Amino acid sequence: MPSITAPQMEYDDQEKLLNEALGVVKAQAFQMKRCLDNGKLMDGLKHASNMLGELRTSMLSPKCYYELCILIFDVILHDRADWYLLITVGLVYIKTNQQSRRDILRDLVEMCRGVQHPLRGLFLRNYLLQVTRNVLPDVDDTSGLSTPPHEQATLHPSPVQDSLDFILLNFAEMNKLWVRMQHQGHTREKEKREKERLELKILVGTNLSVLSQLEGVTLDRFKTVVLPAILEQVVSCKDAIAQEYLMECIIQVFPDEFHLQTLHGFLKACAELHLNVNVKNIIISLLDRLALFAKKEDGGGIPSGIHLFDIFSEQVAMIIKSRPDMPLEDIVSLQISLLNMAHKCYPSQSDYVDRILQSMNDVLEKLNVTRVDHSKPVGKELTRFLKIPLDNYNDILTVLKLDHFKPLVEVFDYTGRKNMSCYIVNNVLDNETQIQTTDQVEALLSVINTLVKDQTDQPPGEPDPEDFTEEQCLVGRLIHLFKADSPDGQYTLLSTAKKHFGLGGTKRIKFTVPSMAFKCYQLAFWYKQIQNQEEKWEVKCERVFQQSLGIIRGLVKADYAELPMRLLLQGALASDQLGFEKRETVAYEFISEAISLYEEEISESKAQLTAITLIIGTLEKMSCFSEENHGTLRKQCALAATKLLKKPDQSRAVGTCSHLFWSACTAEKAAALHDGKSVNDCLKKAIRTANNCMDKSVQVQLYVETLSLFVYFFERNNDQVTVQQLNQLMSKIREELPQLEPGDETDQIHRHFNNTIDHLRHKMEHPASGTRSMEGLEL
Amino acid sequence: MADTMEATKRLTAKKQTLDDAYAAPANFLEIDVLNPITHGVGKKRYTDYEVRMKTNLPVFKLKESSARRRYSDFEWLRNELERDSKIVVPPLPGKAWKRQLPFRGDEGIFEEEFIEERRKGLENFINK
Repeated sequence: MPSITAPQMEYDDQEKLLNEALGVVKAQAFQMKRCLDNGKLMDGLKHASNMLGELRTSMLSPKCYYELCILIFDVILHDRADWYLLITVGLVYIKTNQQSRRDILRDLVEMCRGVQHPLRGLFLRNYLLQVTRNVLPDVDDTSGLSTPPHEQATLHPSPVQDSLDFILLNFAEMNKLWVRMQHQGHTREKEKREKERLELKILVGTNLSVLSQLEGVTLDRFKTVVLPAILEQVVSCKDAIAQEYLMECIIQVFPDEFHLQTLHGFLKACAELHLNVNVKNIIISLLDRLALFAKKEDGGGIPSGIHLFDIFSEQVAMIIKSRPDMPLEDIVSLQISLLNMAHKCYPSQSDYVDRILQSMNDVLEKLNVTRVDHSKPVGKELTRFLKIPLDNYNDILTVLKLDHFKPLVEVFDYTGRKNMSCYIVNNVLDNETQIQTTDQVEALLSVINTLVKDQTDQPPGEPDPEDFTEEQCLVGRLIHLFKADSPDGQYTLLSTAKKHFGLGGTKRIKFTVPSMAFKCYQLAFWYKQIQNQEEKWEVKCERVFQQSLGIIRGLVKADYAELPMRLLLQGALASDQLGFEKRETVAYEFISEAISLYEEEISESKAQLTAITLIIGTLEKMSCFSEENHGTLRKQCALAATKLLKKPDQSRAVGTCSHLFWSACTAEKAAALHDGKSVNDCLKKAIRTANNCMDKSVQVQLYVETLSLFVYFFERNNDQVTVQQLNQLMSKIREELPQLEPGDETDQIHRHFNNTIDHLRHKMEHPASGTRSMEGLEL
Repeated sequence: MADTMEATKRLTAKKQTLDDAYAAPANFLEIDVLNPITHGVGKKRYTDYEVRMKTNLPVFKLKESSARRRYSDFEWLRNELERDSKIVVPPLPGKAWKRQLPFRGDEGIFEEEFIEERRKGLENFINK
């Protein structure tokens, strides 16, 4: 009947037992040494035997037993007895009598069968291995033997073979003991026992590492003797813990060169392992090691005769097939390693990559997986999987050529697709990959579809505005990488893009239209650049502007006003600068449309002032308009300025209008208008409007600002602006300024005014030649 | 000399098959004492336990069995074992006379803690 053993005892009891045992060992060791020192051999051996008697306990947990062993080993490294003593004696025999080495080694390893208690047996055999590892024959020394080789084989079996037999037998026995531990004690304590077994695994594994350190274990021996023998034990033991550890151990202790030559056998064994074994980890571990090996510079890479990819993809498929219960995420993990290996070992073979993607698709199809939740383990693994080709190629164009990439992206849920799309776009941006053909644009936009337009499965309600903005800005930036190799190509490219982004809905086009509009303007300049080779460049420019107008109108339809107005103004400027035949018509169309947007759609007074300032600024910069058109436009601006709601806004806008009569120019004149009278009218009107301001502080501020304008035009020799006017305005400011309530604002007005005075004083003191006399100016 | 050689010749042991080597041991026997339940009232009040056995020993026809037994059944078993054989039968947990005295403030032998202690004792006894 099974006895009640260590696991059933409490921790404290263990501690007590261990301390007792340690005490006995220490006392006996002391006695033993004294006896031996006094030449009393028999008494000494008795004490040694007493001490070793403590090792016969079954009451200690593995950890405590180990501690006890360590102490006893320490002592008997000098004075040994019992099983340990027998081993030591055997060792001495081997050292003194090389001829009998073979027999004694075999006797020792067989003798240890005498201890069948798992824990004690494991430690005893570990001791055996540790002390014999240095006397194991490691070379087949045949020198000096006269027997012909073929007879040698029978008469003097290879010493290395002896070593192998010795270790392999010891390994088999240790594995047996280790596996048997599982059956000890009550079934209730299975988990605890498993933990204890894991603590002991290194004892069994040491056999393999000793094997790996033998020079005599050549590739040939590894292939024909060592590996088959190990795998036989591993597969037959049918114990998940042992299998998982030992397979990993084989991978880690033996060199990659060996693994490469024995892949079939190893992987076949993998497929035969217990269903509880995490085969995935074993395969991944091997794959990762080999992938690393292939990358090593001095390793010479994978030998040409070994079709690593074929072998692994075949075996991985086999394993997946043989384990119908394998979780999907584990299957994906396996494919990840396969994919990594394909990238590292066969960087130029994109067909391999596509084959793995295809097999991933097949697996999903077979399992009837139509949607993958991005937050579940499968989703996370699949994300990792799909990022591999992106990260390795760093070229979306190569990835798009993989037929089975897109279907895998599409299997994700909404958020999964969106995340993957963002990752793709970021990859394109980081690598500045240029998208050159309409096919490429189509393919890319179709993969990142989730960012381009609304999806049927997107969550209801508004998306997080910050996230949404961030995603859409990525798309906006992406457009700048659409670049064909010819302007005509670029035109079709943009037309394709327009078609797709047009479906984005009002929320998205706000982010895509600006990029699209600027891409159009850029294209127009490209046409101009090649005007020598392109006869019809002017017509084509016009066509581009038509296209951009269409794109911008999309924004207007979506109820945006400021943004399209700015883009229209930009278009007007571009058209003006291009100097093609229809530039005036185009520019007029753009700017007049901007003005009507201003009039009809922009209602907030702050926004109005900003907008009219922008319009005035744009018009001032342009030179393509005829006097007639320019007259209409500037009148429109002046009118709009006076129609602003608030007086200060009116005053400022009217003041700004003055530039339209001075530095602006028309097509006929091809030089600045310099209409001094109109300028002066604007300025006087600005002052009059300021007079009507109730807020004194604002009023004075407007005076000071308009004074600057007066000074500006005075210095540009506008004879309509007189010294008297300046004096008048300055005295008015001087009168009002002291009455303002002190504060930051007033300080600022003061400073502005004083700076203007200082400037005038400087000009008076250092008059430049050809400037008007400033006589009579009262500073 | 030849005799000595013969006498000390190494035996060729029959190789253990792998299935044998890794087979689960054929001496598995595990008895659990569990699920104590207290029945009845007054003088007829008693506690019994489920005794559950699992084994792969070939001598047993039933590989699994379960029955409910009370302390006195264990006493009977122990007496039967001791009666005609020379084997040393391990002791049972104590009878707890003190707990059976009248006028106690607690439940006496029907206290939960006591029942658990006795259950452990009985399980140890039956497994020895």
